[in-house]
Amino acid sequence: MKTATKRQYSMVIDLHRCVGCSACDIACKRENNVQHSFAWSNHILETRGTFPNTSFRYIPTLCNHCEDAPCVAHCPTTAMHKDDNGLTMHDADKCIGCRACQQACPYGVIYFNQERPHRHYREYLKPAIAGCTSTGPEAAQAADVPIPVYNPTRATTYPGIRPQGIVEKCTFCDHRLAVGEQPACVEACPADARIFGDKKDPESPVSIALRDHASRVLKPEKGTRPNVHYIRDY
Amino acid sequence: MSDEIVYLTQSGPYWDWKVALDLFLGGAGVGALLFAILLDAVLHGKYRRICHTAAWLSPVLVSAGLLLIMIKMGRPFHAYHTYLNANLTSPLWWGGIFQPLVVGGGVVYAFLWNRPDQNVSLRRGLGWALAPLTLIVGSYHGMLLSTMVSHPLWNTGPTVIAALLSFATSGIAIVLLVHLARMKWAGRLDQQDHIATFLNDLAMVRNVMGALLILQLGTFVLWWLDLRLGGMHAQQALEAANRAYGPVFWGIGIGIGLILPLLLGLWSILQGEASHRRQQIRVIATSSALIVVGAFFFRLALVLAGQVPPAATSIF
Amino acid sequence: MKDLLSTDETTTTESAAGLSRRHFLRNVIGSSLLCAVGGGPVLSRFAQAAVPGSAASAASAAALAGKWLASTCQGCTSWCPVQLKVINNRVTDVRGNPFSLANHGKICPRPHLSLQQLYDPDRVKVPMKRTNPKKGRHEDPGFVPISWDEAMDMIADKMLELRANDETHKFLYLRGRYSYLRDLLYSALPKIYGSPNGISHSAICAEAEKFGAYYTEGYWDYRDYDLEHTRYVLCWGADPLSSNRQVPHAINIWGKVRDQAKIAVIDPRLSATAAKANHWLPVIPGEDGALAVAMAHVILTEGMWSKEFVGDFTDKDNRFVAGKEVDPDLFNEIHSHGVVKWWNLELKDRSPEWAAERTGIPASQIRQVAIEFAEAAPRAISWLSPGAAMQARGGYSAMAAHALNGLVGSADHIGGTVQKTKVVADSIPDFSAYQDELAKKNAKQKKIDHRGTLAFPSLKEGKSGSGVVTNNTADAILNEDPYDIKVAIANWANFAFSCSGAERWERALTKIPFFVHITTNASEMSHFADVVLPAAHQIAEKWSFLKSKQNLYGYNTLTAPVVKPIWDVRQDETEIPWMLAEKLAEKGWDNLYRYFNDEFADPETGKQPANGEEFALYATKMLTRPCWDASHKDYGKYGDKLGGWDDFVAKGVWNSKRYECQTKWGNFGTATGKFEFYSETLKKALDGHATKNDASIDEVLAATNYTARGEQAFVPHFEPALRHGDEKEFPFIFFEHRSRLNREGRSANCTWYQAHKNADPGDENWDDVLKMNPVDARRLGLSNKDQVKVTSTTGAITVTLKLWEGVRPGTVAKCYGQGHWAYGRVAAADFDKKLPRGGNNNIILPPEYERLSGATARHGGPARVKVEKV
Repeated sequence: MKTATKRQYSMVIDLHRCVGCSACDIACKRENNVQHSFAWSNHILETRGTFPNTSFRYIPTLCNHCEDAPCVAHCPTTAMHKDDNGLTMHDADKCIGCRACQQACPYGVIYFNQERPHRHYREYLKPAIAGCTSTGPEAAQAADVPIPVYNPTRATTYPGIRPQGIVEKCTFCDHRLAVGEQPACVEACPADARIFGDKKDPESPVSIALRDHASRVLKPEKGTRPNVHYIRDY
Repeated sequence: MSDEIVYLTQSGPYWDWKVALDLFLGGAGVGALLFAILLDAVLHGKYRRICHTAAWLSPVLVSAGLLLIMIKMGRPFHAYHTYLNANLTSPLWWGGIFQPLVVGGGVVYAFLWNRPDQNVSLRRGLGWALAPLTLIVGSYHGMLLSTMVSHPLWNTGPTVIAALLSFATSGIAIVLLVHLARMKWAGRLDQQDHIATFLNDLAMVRNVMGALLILQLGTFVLWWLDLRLGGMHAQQALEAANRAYGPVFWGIGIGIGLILPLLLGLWSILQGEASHRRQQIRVIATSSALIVVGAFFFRLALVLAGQVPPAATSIF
Repeated sequence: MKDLLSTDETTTTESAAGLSRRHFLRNVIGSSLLCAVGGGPVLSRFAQAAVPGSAASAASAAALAGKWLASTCQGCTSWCPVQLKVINNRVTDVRGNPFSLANHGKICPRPHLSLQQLYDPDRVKVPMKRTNPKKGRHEDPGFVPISWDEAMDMIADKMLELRANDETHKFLYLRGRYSYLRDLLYSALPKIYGSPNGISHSAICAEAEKFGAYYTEGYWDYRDYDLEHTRYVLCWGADPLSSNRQVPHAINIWGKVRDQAKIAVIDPRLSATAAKANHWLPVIPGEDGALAVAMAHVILTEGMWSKEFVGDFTDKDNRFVAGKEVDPDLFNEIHSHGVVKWWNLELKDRSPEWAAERTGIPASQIRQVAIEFAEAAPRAISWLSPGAAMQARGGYSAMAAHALNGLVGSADHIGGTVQKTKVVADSIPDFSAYQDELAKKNAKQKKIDHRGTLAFPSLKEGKSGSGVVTNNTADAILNEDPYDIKVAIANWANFAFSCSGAERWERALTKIPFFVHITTNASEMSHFADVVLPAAHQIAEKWSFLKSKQNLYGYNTLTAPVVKPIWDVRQDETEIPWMLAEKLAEKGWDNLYRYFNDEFADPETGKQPANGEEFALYATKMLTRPCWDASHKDYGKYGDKLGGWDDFVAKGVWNSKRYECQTKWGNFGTATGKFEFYSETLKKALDGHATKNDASIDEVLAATNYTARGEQAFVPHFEPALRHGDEKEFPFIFFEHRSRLNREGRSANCTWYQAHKNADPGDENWDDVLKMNPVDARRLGLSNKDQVKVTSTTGAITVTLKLWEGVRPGTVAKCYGQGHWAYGRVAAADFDKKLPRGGNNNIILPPEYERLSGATARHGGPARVKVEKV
């Protein structure tokens, strides 16, 4: 199953710098036109202890782009696959919506479009105040896009909005990588807590960060070999 | 209350009763087919009528299961991609390839049973060819779940064995049930001598069934031990599953579907010749029905419970 | 409606059992139901992917590169310079402006939300007028669309009617969020027209906080903080990682701060910042003052005050011994004033043990934090925020918390708390020549808000009645005291939601015969309007500029119309007054129009504005000239030398020089020029106010709810918290806090806001939870997710209960920002039926004040509440 890839794009999340602001999550929704109930970029919240000795942690999560990705192993059509950059990618056309990938993923980062996505913005046909305010479709058409807030660049490598019946997940913003940009969550992080790059390049920021710090991954016991690493403590 | 870990993801179960019913129907279907093939091969036509029932039941059951899966799929019309691409690590891919083969082969096989005296060698030849496929499909039903590292409840060896055994028992039980119905419909249940022969012939099947049920019970004990004595995640998964689906699994799946039929069978044996033939028929019908119901609920509980997220206790 | 916003797609990993079975059924039933709804226009041409690697995708990628254009985010008062990515006249992305030295290219989550505001389907897209003359929350206004011309016609008629009747002072302008073109609407319009009533929202914002800095170091403004060099950050209710000012800078540097400094957060709630601090001091709400004076007590008794800044005993022998008075003559004070008086009048008895009982914080922790803070000084910050100041008796706690900076010499010191740099901009041209007799006379009438009266000193910058008492305006309108209001215009304000005792505003607005609301969304306030004017959104549709500071840099930052609006909206502070002026002129009164037309011109071409859009542009250019026009006297003197207007538009921001520390030492803006622990400045101000109202200072203190009398009034001192409601009937202290996603209460209609609400520690997505300690809940038999009615003496709301260890037993907390019953179909649970999503805190918070500053006392737990399961 394992094939040598040219690059291995990876992310290092510095929990010491992260302040749990969720700018990553929101920027991801905007960048990838993700419907509100999905979260390609997500987080785990942890409250521990008893007042006043209470602690709180926010651990950002996203697709781990595992080297041994269970979602890829389980996909009956190879829609879910690894690409040359080490990304775990999803070919929307090949997807039959069997949800085996979602079932197989130990991290809960794959989402299935049970319904037509963005229904709030695409199917409200009655305005709040007739004649004075608009509807989602009207606002979208006025801006010449499918939903009122829409990023057309997402559609260069993946459906701009994923159709009903298929799964979707984080792609490390492959469409941004293709034009030399960092993933949106990295760009949006005001704390500079996200470090991104090619793990196979020893001089890349991720390689340096992983050399300089002890790192962890989520659920190492699952044997997935994640490419999202965590350093330091929240 | 003092510790709380919140991780919001898409809520489960991702696979619902339709998948459980597919596993059950598909399992019973290939079980029925294997039953027919083995009876035919080993006992040389002693059970023609049962074989006929089993052979016809198989493609009906398996294709019904496939239909359910297609309904459950987000985009069934893209399913052709399964045949354009090969992913050997994906149990679903194996299922997608071999289940239709079993249905297709099964239909031909069933047609051959319509004239049981003709083309016997062709039939048996086809049967031998289909037999390994039934085993592949039967174990696929277990592999599909057991290879999910994400779900500790499924991620065990006994899951596969349990699936295999269940496909055998449920396959035989559903064949017997349908066959009895067929006999009743044909009025043969009123013919005393016919019943006598039938029961006589069936003693072997009953014993095999008993053995399978005991084996299955043993597998469940092993499976439980595997989880109970397993790592923290396995224990948590077992606990969460038991909390949500314990009664369905242990009560219906095991109690009604395994133990009760075993007791009924035991009781019937202890009664011996003393028991009335009609009563014996009833015992067979009842325990078959119980096995069928139990097999479905075992699958249902397994599919749903496996997806219950265990209480999170740590992040790293 | 609810279905379309369905949130049952998500569940928690800890929810285990029951849920899965429920979903099992819901998925079966739900999906078949949803299929039936369907519909909606097909726009699939956009939803289809271009094939990767194809020529088409390469071409489209180039076309999609877009342009990054500069503007400013006004989601909070940080006012961060941003850049917006524009593709085909659409904003598709936002980032920090890399030219800005203040936020150095970083933004917090708020600007991201602004895109959903900009393209919110619930924005008012055309002017609308009311057809139902009856006003009330449950009256349908019957809004119908009208043209801009008709709207201006209606407003001009009403305004001219007042002029004809010599009642122009009965015109009221209510200012909400503004830019630095604010004076066109806030000052020029009412005054040229003839009304004193430009009423700002400032007092519901943070005036009491400025009070603390002003009456200690003579600086009426927000401070800046040298986080880069600090060794200690002591936050007083401040949650800089979420709110208050300079959010992105604080977020960006927090990792470094944690590396080099210790952090202590005083906040009744485990805030985002408290979660990333060394100490959390969950003070009982409203008792911050006790904590601050106890810390001062420790610093003095331990001999840890700044000898360099404050001075020392002549013989260097520390006489600050608990309980003992000190002879002032024995102390040589340097840059401060009255430390011994402060000790004798207040601090000597304020031991940590005394404070522990009041504040709920152990004496050992008070002592430890005070000592650590003083040890780190002068590179130490005592960071005062509204939380510890906007309290009914918060004026003195604000002074006490800020005075710690003086005590350890960190005021205006590297690594400490500093003031601001000069940010250049011009003022609007003088308009007095355009005021006729009527205007001059009536503009001098008493202002509506009672500022400067005995109970409302509003001592902004030392002068009685110079500050606003925003929230009292509602009562003044209702009581017609000093007169009745007949015509009102409100702009980017939503006082029926954002002011405590919000229900009074609903009645007050009902009472105003003609009310015009300039707004982006049909908010609570719009519901009572006769005319609603759709406002351009500040972030992408409006010319203006703002002055702010972060990271020791001041800046002047442009907001620019980077896209053409998709609806028929107008710029609130320029285009709308221009159109109104035109209409008034058309009807025979042209003073305002002449002022706009004659005094404003393009500084580059000299051309006079021909329309509102040009007026907006020229006004912005004129007032920002010192930033970019080399011929201006201030050009380049205080910061960047921008190469002309186009360069300013391209860069979007003018940066000041970096702040120089210690320039204020010996030169503070106080009466003594020193950092005052004994505030001569406040003494003077109180005296002025007392004299004006023919009363004694003690009478002023009594009228403003303070308990201190005599000399104590001039030093930062402890005041017991003021609460409404009897402890027996209302056992819990209710306190509120801010959200890192609040765009000043305007973002609740964004699905991204709702879907990420749990970014505020303890909160839940798509909900507005009341946070209660599990110990209390167990006692009351309440469980997580229960719907509870929260009742105060002022009102009641029904919300979801959340059991959380991040709040103190005996207190309950809820975030501000939710509970809209209008604003849009996401913000409100049911917009048509006017049902709120959650509950607005301002329904249960009493309209209480910190009267010395005029500020609304929304913090410090002014309301006691009872919590009952419904």
